[in-house]
Amino acid sequence: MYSGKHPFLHDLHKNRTKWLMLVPAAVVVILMCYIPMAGIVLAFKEYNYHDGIFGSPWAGFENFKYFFKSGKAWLTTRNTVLYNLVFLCINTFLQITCAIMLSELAGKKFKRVTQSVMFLPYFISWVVVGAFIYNLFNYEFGAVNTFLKGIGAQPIDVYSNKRAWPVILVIVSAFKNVGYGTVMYLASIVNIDGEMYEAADLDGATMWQKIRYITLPCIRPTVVILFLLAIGTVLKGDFQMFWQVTGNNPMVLDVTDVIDTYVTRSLLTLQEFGMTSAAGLYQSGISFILVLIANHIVKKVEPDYALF
Amino acid sequence: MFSKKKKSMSLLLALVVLTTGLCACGAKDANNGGAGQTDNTKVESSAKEQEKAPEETEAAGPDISEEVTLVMYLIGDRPVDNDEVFAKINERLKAEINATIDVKFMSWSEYEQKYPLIFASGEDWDIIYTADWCFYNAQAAKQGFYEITQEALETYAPMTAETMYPEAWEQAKVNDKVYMLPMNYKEITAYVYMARGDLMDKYNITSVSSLDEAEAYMDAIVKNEPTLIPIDVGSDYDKLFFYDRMFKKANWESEEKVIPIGPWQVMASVSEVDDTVSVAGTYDQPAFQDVITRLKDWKDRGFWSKNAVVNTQNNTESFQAGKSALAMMNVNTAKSVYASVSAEHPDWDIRVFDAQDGVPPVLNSYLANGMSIFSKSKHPERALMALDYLRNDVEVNNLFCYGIEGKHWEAAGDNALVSLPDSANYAYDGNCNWGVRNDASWRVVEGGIPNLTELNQVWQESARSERYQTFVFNDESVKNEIAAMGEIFDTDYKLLGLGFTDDPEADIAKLRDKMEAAGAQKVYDEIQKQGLEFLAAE
Amino acid sequence: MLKKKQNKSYDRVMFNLISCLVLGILSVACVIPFWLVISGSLSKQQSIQLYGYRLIPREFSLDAYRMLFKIPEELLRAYGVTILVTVVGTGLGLLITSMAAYVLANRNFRYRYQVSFFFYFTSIFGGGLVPWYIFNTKYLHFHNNIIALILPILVNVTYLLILKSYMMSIPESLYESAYLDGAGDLTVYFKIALPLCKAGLATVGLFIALNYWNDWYNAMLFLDEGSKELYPLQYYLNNILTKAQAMNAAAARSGIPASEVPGEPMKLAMTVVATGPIVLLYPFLQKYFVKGVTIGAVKG
Repeated sequence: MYSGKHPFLHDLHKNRTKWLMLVPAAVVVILMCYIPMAGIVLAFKEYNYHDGIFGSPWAGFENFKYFFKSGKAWLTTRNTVLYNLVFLCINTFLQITCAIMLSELAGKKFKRVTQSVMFLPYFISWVVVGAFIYNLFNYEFGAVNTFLKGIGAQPIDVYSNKRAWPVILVIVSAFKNVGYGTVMYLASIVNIDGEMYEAADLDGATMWQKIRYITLPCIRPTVVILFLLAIGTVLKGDFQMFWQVTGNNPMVLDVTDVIDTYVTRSLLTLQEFGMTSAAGLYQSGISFILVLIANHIVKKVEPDYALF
Repeated sequence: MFSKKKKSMSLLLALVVLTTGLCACGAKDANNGGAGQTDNTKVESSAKEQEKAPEETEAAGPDISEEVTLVMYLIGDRPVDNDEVFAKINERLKAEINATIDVKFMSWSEYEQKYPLIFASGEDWDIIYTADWCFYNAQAAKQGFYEITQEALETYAPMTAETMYPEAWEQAKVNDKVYMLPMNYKEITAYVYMARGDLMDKYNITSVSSLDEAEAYMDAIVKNEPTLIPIDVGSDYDKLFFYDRMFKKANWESEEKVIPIGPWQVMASVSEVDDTVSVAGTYDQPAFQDVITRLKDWKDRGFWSKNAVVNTQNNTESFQAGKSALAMMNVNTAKSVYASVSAEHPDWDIRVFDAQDGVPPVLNSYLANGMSIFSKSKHPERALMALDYLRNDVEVNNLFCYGIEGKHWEAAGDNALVSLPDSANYAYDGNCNWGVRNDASWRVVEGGIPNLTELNQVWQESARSERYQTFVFNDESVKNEIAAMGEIFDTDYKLLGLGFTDDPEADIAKLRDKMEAAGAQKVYDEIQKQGLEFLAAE
Repeated sequence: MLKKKQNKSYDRVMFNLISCLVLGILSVACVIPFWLVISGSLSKQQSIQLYGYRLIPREFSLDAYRMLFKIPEELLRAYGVTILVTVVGTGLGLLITSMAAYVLANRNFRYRYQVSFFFYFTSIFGGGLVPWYIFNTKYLHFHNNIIALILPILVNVTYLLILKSYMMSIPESLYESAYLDGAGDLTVYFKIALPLCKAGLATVGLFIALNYWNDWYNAMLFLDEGSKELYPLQYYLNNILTKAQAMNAAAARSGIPASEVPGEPMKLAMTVVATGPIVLLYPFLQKYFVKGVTIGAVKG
């Protein structure tokens, strides 16, 4: 009956329940994301309140210039990408390890307590983390140097040490995110069909073998999708973490400056919406290209795992 | 006494309204030729007004038949007694201009984000606090403010038209148009040291009122008091305090009298005696390297923390907490710090010294505080009238600035007041009223720092205006460069300013290279061009 | 029965030992900072400034909590708003997200890649704060409206795609047999997809709940003083701190020495007060994170 119609309309009718189930989420996304998205034009405008977003005069690529002007574009882009990749790898490894341990562990009480406890860092804001770090590493009063002086060693000056900061950032990132991410993998492990383990037990498989041949392959889809999602944010990154933990320290900026912190510093007093928008568009554009590539590869290998 | 004053005041007001209101029409006709001319006439106009007034008596005042509520945004948190104070203010405004003010507050912790947003959203509001440090230029350039023309001022804000300092009006111009009523208040910023008397006596230091004396004091501290940091500078608030003191002193004592010019991020400087306005980076000034070398020496000797660049606590907080032995601050801050520290730690015997070290204090920009009207306000004229009262009407102005007389404060002579216990609920000069400060009705708090009168006297006598005091730079054509340079200011410059360098000469050269790459020369040329225009216009 | 025997085997023991050790160390690493937060919140401001954060307060003081609990009914009200927003937002968000995830996870749905892309695209490109704010205030009238606390974070595309991947790991055969039995999509969604995906729902639900619980940004943007009764917890607590500090600074200007605001301890006490209730939610969810339960249960 509908065979003559466009395939899309046909599907719309045939799968109308499915389409209807998509409607609420789509409406929210359209309202909260797609309509305001028109504001991207700001990146190419010299905004004024009187003419509004669309009426303001065009500025061409003027708003993008400052970002490339002081030669920091490459440095900050590199730092952003590298940090995000390292965080991703280390955090994912720790999260999966913890999830597997928690899922297999026998002691129920211990499990409960550790699981809850690992969530605590999530509630400590970056401002507080930054204050702790400062308290730890402050040259004159910091806990580390107080200890070092106590045992007669030379105090160290962490805040001028470029090599220390990548390590510190990786550690605090893990500290804040491991508990949170573990839950995601735990949920994925829990979803694995229990019969597979029972069959393996019957075959006399060891713990390690079960993890290697059942658990890890079964959580692969989750790993892949979280990796893909992370690629999409590889140029953004946790602004508060970099800003608060390093204290915006100019001595080590070469190794701690990411795009967001750089842009914030530049535009602090200028308040140019167009320039902020331009930096955002640059980040989105590059991320988008990276995701398209990554997704394309994944789709070739295993279409089910692809994002879109 | 007060009511008498009030009566004579309102009589005067009526007169002013009449004369200036009328003059506005005359001025308009006479000055159709050039926009720039208008303001010049204003200053000398008072004399002419007198003559013109009797001629055109038929013009009525502005139409105020419709009752309006004006929404006014202030920055800060609502004082407990704010509504009570504004009830009184509104009583008077209602009677005089048939309008009332509804105050909204934007907390300090969020104004940076919210301020631009309320311009962009469709919200209905009328008046807002603004300042050169509080987005005045940015919002004015984006047409966020209602333009206050000379005519509008004379029609709707006659008292302001009468009393406005001409240099303040000039300063407020952005592209030749005025969008703000700057405060009518000559504020000098002088810096003071606050030191611990107990420690001074211990190490035989008699005075800390010059850089050399401060050096001696801090040296004694760093050598003998291992638990104390001499001075805990480094936060955004005070990162360049010592740099400024040293650089200003060196230049004041030199022939060239180099002073800063243009926006602070671009680090531009010019010699006051140079009529060609050749602008150069401060880092290229002869005194710069010596200053940085001395700062490096101080920092190496441990006068401030090795981690000063990541400090978030400003030096007065550390001083109050007993972490440091010396603090530097401007004199207004000093008053309040003195009050709380001497109450909390009488044993410290804190003493206040002049930190100007012979450099005359400079008059603050009038744009440091002001009030503006929203460009989309539905009642800009009435808003202007309300501002006129907030600024000039002694009763309203006193209410806004100090609260209710008899409840929050008590007069002490004509220029001073005593805070009453209730002032905790509406503090003296603490309600974002700074934009309407007015020399004519200003009062200072009695008591506090014992040698303040003495210090004030010295400063008042020596205070001066710098040559480019009223020069306002239009950054339209160099925004990208300023953004790039602002970033360098925040990083490399800050490091040097706190003495964080192993090799001053090399690091200054590095700073110079970066600035040049960011387009410093283009900005300096633009400043020079505008500077020459500014001098020509004078 | 078999399982029990296996449990005692050597590698089991080894595994448990190593796990306990690793998790134990990690837990301690997570607990210590939080312990510092609690201890700091019970300290005097000055002792933090002078001696830093310590495991045991050097000078014990309840000032920070006294400031936060000054007006108990307001605090309770803020708790109420947050709980309401969290419950409504999480319930609604989970329903909407899981429905969409169900459809996108369905291999029979021809346009699933395209629709996934439609959703995913929004997590990469955004119009920025200003256009978003203008649209929300001018056209959706979010100003001082509780919807402003719910709608902006109702659907998180990242969670949607994660939930989709969980749903895809449910064996397809289960869906197929249900469809063959003549079940419609809604039935399959409610009767099979949701029960089989409890762990995934618990995870995403937890994340959504945490987002609501910790959100102060939307409150900051869209609520002004006039609607104090809508302040959620985090924003309310923040306000107490800034207000106390502002009042103190103001008092000093008047020349009246005021007692110092315990700023540092208050920041830490805020963390404690805001963490309390939500941390209790997690143990409650833990029953969904037990291995091998869900699928077996449905099959049986």
